Amino acid sequence: MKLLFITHDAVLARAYKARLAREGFLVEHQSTGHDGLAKARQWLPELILLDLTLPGMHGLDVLKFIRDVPPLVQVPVVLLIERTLARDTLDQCLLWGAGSYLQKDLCSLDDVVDHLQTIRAASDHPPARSSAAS
Amino acid sequence: MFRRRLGRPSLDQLYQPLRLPKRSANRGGGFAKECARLRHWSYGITLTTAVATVIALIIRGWHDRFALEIIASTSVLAFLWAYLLARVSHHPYVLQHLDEVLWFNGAVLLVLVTVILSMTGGSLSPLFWAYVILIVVEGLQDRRRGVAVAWLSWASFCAMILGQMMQWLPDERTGVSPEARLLGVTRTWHVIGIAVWYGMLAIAVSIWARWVGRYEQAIRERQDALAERERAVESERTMAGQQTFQVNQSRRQLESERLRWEQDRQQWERQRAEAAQQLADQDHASAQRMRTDEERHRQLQALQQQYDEAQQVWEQQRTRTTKQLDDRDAALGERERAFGEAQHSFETQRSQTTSSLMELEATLLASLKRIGDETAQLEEKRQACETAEREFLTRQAQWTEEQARARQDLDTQMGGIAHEAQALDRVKEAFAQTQQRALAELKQQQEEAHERLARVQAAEHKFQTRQQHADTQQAQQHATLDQHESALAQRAAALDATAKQLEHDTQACEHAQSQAEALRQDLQQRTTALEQQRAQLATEQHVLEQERARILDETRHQEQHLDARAAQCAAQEQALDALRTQVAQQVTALDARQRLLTEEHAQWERQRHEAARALTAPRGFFVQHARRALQAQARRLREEGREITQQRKALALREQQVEQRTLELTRIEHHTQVTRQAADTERGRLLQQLRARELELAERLRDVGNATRQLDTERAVLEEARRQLETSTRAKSSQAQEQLRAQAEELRVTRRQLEHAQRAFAEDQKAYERASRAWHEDKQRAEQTTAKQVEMLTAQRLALEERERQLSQEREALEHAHGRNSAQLAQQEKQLTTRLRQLEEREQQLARTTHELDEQQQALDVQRQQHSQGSVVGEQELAVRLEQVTVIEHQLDADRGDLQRRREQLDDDRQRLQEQQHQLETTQQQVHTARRSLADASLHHAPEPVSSETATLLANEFNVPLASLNALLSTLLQGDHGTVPPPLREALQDVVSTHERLRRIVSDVLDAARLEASELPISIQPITLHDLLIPIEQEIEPACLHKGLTLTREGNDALVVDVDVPHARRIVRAILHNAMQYTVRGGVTVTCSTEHDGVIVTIADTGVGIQVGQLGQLFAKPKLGSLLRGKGMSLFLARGLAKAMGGDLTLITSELEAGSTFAVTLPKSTLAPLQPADAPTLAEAPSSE
Repeated sequence: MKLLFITHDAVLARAYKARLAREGFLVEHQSTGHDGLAKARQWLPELILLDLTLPGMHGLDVLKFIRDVPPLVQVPVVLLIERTLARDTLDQCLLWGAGSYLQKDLCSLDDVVDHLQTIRAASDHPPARSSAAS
Repeated sequence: MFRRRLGRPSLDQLYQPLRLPKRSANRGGGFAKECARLRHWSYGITLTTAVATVIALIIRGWHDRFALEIIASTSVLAFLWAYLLARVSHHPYVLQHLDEVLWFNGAVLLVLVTVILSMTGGSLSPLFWAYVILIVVEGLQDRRRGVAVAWLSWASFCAMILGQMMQWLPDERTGVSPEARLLGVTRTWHVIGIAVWYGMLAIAVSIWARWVGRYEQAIRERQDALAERERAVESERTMAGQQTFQVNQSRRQLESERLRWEQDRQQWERQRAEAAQQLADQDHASAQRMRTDEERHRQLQALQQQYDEAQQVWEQQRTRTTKQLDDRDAALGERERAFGEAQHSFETQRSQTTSSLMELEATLLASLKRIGDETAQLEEKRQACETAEREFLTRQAQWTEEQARARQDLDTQMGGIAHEAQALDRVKEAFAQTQQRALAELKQQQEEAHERLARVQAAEHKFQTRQQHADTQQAQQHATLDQHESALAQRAAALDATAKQLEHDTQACEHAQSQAEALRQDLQQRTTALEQQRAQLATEQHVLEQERARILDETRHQEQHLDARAAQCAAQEQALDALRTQVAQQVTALDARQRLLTEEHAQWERQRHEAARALTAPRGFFVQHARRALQAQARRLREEGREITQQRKALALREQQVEQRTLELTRIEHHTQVTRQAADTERGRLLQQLRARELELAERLRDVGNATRQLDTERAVLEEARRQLETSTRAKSSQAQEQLRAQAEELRVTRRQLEHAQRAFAEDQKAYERASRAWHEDKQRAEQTTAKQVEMLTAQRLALEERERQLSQEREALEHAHGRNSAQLAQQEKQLTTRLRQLEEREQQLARTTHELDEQQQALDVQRQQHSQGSVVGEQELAVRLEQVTVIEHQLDADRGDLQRRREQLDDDRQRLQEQQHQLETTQQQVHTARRSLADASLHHAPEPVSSETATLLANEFNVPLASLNALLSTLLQGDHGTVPPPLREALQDVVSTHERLRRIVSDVLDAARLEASELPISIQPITLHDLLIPIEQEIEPACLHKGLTLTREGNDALVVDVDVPHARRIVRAILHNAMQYTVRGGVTVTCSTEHDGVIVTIADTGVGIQVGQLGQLFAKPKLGSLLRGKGMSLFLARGLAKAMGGDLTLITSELEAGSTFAVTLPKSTLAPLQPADAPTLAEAPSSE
């Protein structure tokens, strides 16, 4: 599964990349919102792990731009947030179609991997049409 | 003595728990040490008991059964005691009560030694050194115990003397001590001397213990003072570091703000340039549009010219066609004339033929007359002639018939011709009539066309006037546009001037900023100088610390040296004891030998007597033999006596050596005392040096304080300068804003004017369009009428052609009729055919001309269509251009809105900048005050605690990098980056545990801050106590089992509570973890019960309890220092969380060494519990229902 990881935290990126590569994900890392968007347009990932704290373009804006690209409209986006993130921003992100979020300062790496594997399993075996419609 | 340092101080010692007593601070390392102490005691007792038992047995045991029993039982008891000590040395209870055990051990050993002494000579026993050994060992281990044992041994010695004096102890068991014998004093004086010696020893030990205690206390006080000093210096350094960090941060913020301002300015400049560019582009576009309009106008003119030309051509063609028609009419007249001529010639030819026929009749009549004449002549030929005549008659009849028929035909033809001539006359008349009518119609149409042409010319004139009007308007608009452009250029020039002024201002600002930068650099230099001074101070402090360490090392070395000396003394004493025992053994051996010798001597005497008696008897060989044997024996005895004397000499030498050794010992003791005094003086000197250094340090710190004060004053001056600069920049910025606003208003006004002009232009263009449309409609109408006329003409032409065709058919019929009659007619017919061919050629020419006309008309139509298409395309282009104009206007509006928004944003940013500057000022003031307080504190040596805001800020900053580090560590440990070797894995585990603790502290600080700000999200749900408690118990249970503690749950755990499950678990986990950590034996009990409308979970332990002084601060928010020193935030957070959920956390009871009981009150639920599922960190987004 092609996973695009957009974060400015190089240490986190290294850790996640190593672990997710071992779990069978094809991971690409970009450190800014602009680079991430360019990569997403070009590479068309199947899952996007987006850190909201980004330099320059904010993660919410990145999410909006991702939703503007037609092939990326249905791609699940998992947000990485901090526990001190404002609730309004999170609500806006969810309105803009972020599927789920993880608190990176509270979650362990195993939690993150489990969550991403759940999403991968769901995308490998998509639910029935009725449930998707609901 | 048995001091052994731990390899690595446990990190847990840094987080010493609040209620941990001081005594058991480093229990983990202490147990091993105490075990080793007990083991050493056991070995010492075993060894000493073995030696003492042998000595006691040598002294008394062999001769006295009672003494043997007592000594044996005592030694057995001592061995048993040693075994017991070795056996229980690992028992935690014994290790916990080690002091008491050691006291008991001292008492037991004292009793045993006393028993052995009483059994081996009481006050005169050579084993009295055992007391000395015991006193020395106890004294070296514990001064108080040493003093106590010394006085007790003195007392027991005195009791033994008393017992001996009171005859409680039998005299014969006491014996005489060899020392007494050697010294030659009486027993009483010897006993008194030993008692006095013991008393002096006890006094000396007590004095020594007191002196050492004072010395140690002084050293401890000095160490405490140094540690406090170190802490103070460290805290000052950390404070200074934090403040420099804050100052640097604020400087960085200022720098970043400046950069952002610069960026904003550049962006604004860029936007201005872009707007100017856009304006220029729009001007260029409008100019281009004007040019294209002109071109189109030119094209229209060209088209109109083409149209006029086409019309002229059409007119020419029309005239040509009318001419051709006239020609054709003329040709037709000519043809009619030719036809008349032909008819006339035909008539003449007919008359000629009739005349020739008459002549032929006349000739025939003449020939008939000749024949009548010749009938006679030709009777033979008459038959032939008759046949010929018959034939001729038949032929004549035929001819006559034919002639009659021809005459009839001719008559009919003549009639037909006359009829045809009549018809032709009728047709001619009709043709003339139609021609007249057509000519009249043509005239009418020509008149109409002339009228229409006049109308068209009038419309054209009108159009031209309108166009001229439009041109003038356009010229006016161009003029206004030029004016606006010139105004815009002037405004742009003004803008450039203002920009230049702004640049000048910015240059001035930059100059001021560079000045500020220079000042800042100066400040930085000063701060670096200060830091250098600080570093110098730190190096000096380091030197001091090194010196202190050196002094401590020296003292330690001296202590070790003393210890070594003491050990040497002990060894020498042991050697002396051994020598003494050896001497005693030798003495006893000598005594035994003497006894043997005396017995032998007695035997020898008896043998001599018997020999003498035998000598009195008969002598002989036997007598000689016996004499020789006796002489040999006497020689042997002499040799033995020599040996004995040699041994005695050796013994005397040994005794002299022993005396020398004792003298050496006293000398060594003296030397040690001297060295100790020297060490004391050295220590005093070093302490004086230390004091002097400290005074120097204080002076330096004062100097540093003065320097910092100077720095502060300079900083204040700098701040004033900066404030002035800021005010000037503000004034300049306000001026620039006003100028900008004025320019913007002017720009708006010009834009409005431009819009008005554009609207007027658009209206003119619309009018022009309307006029052009009307003109086009007129043109179309004229074209339609012309087309109708052309159609009518074509219809007339077609009718004419039909008539011509009819005429040609009639002509052809006539020709056919005439052709059959005669060859002349054929010639006429040929002529007619040639004429007809000519006619046909003319007709073809006419057809060609009509075809050309049609083609020309088609071309005209095509041109007309092209023209109309061109006009449509032009209209479309115009519409597109208008749309473009509207779009550009929209864009302009949008740009204007954007500019407005950006201006608002800039205003907001400016306000924010001002606010931030204000904040910066306030923070700088805070820094200033903090610096002042730091300076005061450095003078008063009282560091202030770090504020909780700073702690929260730091925790917030650390939170995310720590989480990232955690992820990286976990991947490292799980081998995601390659295999990890075991030593590195252990080190990584240590890093992970430390990191976890750090994360917990940061998380606690953050959660505490959020809890205080009421930002911590709480989601209440019902859950049973069993479901709430079971995961925590499963977590804690392994650690409990490891420590040998019990974990029990009591009460009704099916009660349902309304809580935030993770928070509630956090509360219970914190208390259970504390209870397990501070409980050594017993266990932890969790009790569930209800009270009023709440559920109470009571957690009771049998741990060390909480000290009374710390009960008040148990749930208080810890300061940063105390947080780092060990007091966690868990209880503060737990209580806060409990209160946030509507519950509480209280301490019910706490007794030292008996345990504590905490009660967690949780709100009782009225609902059924949900399934236990909690995911505090992982939350799915709500579904989009």
